[in-house]
Amino acid sequence: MKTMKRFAGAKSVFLIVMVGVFLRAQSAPPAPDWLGVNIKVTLESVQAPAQSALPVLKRLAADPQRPNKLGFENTQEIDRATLGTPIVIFAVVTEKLKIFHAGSDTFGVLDQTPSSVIFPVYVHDQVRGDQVRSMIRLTRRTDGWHVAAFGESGLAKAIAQAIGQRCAQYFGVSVAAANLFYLGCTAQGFQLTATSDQYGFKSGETRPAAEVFLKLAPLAAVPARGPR
Amino acid sequence: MRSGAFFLLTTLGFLILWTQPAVPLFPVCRPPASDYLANFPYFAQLQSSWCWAATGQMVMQFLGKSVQQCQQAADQTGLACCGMPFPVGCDAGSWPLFEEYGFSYDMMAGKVLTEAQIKAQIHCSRKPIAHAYVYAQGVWDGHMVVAYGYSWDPVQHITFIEVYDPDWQQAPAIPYDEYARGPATNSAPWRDYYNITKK
Repeated sequence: MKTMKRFAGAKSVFLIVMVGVFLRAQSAPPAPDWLGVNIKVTLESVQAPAQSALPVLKRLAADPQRPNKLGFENTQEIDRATLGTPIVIFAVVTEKLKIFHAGSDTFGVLDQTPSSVIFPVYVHDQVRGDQVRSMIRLTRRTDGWHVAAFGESGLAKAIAQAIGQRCAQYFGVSVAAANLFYLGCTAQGFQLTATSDQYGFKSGETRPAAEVFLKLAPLAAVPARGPR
Repeated sequence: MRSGAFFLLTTLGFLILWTQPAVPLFPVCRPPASDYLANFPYFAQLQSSWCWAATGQMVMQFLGKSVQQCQQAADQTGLACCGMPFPVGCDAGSWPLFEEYGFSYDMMAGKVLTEAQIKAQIHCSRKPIAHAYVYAQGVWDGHMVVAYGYSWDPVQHITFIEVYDPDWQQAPAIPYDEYARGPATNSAPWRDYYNITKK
């Protein structure tokens, strides 16, 4: 009798868990096809320009006339620099963020065409492993991808600190209206990981994209009196 | 005698026109391929919308006056922005108040200084440039950074602008063409403040 009761109890728990998993899967809208397609196509098209850009970064960083080494600590590091996993960036359209509300399509806030791709640049350290030092940013122009900046080491380090092992394919979500950058992932619904401590979110903290956009919508709606 | 003087004046006039009026006949300063403002201070923006205040702080500190970001925000908004928590309205986009703190400047809107002008500012005048861009054309929202140097890549024949970005605590090198267009696909120049001088 006791065994039967235990079995029934376990069965109920199992059913509840299964219903929960089913409901969660139903409530989290699947990632739209364009997202995966645009990431794949973009990654294919930026490999060649990124490979060409790495020697330029090394040459610039090693130039003794420069004011800084673009994130590298010494010239030995520059020689050992390699490109890391690229992150395709989708910009949040400010006009769409302004009117975002509960129930809005979270993916609908993004510009479907990736605006830029960033390549963290790593240096392998035998003791500490791979260490991020610098960054190459490519931006899409009408005639293809161009290097937009070398050496955005602050953002590269912020991303490296925030990034976890939770997602197989991160993508960048840039909220220009609030100077914010998130790491997007669709493995368990559309979620965003913060790369800085802002607006109640800690760096490395992951939240549903809808929650983040709801928090940022009022900020985007404030008219800008100047740059920010 | 008369025809000789006429010939001399005509030749001189032709020479002046030929060398273009914008370029001095006898340039006193020829910028080298690379240069930067040594000891230029870096300040990160202390609030999410204070790129303009951080830029103002960097520029004014370099030129000899220390003005805190919260003070600039307070003077700009009329609110008490140096206390914590500060009132709603302090953390907002704006423009550096150079004049209010005793600086004169020139400003160009909707376009950027040319490569030659940037080199002249940095090498000849030893002055930084406060450079703002809009995120998208027609949208009056953007970001401000400081240009404090330039460098030349002899292989690609490209001039890079050395920038202090108050947002991410970083100092990237940006190809001039990209600097002029702004970082995003649709971004565009907003304002450049240059010839900033302590009165």
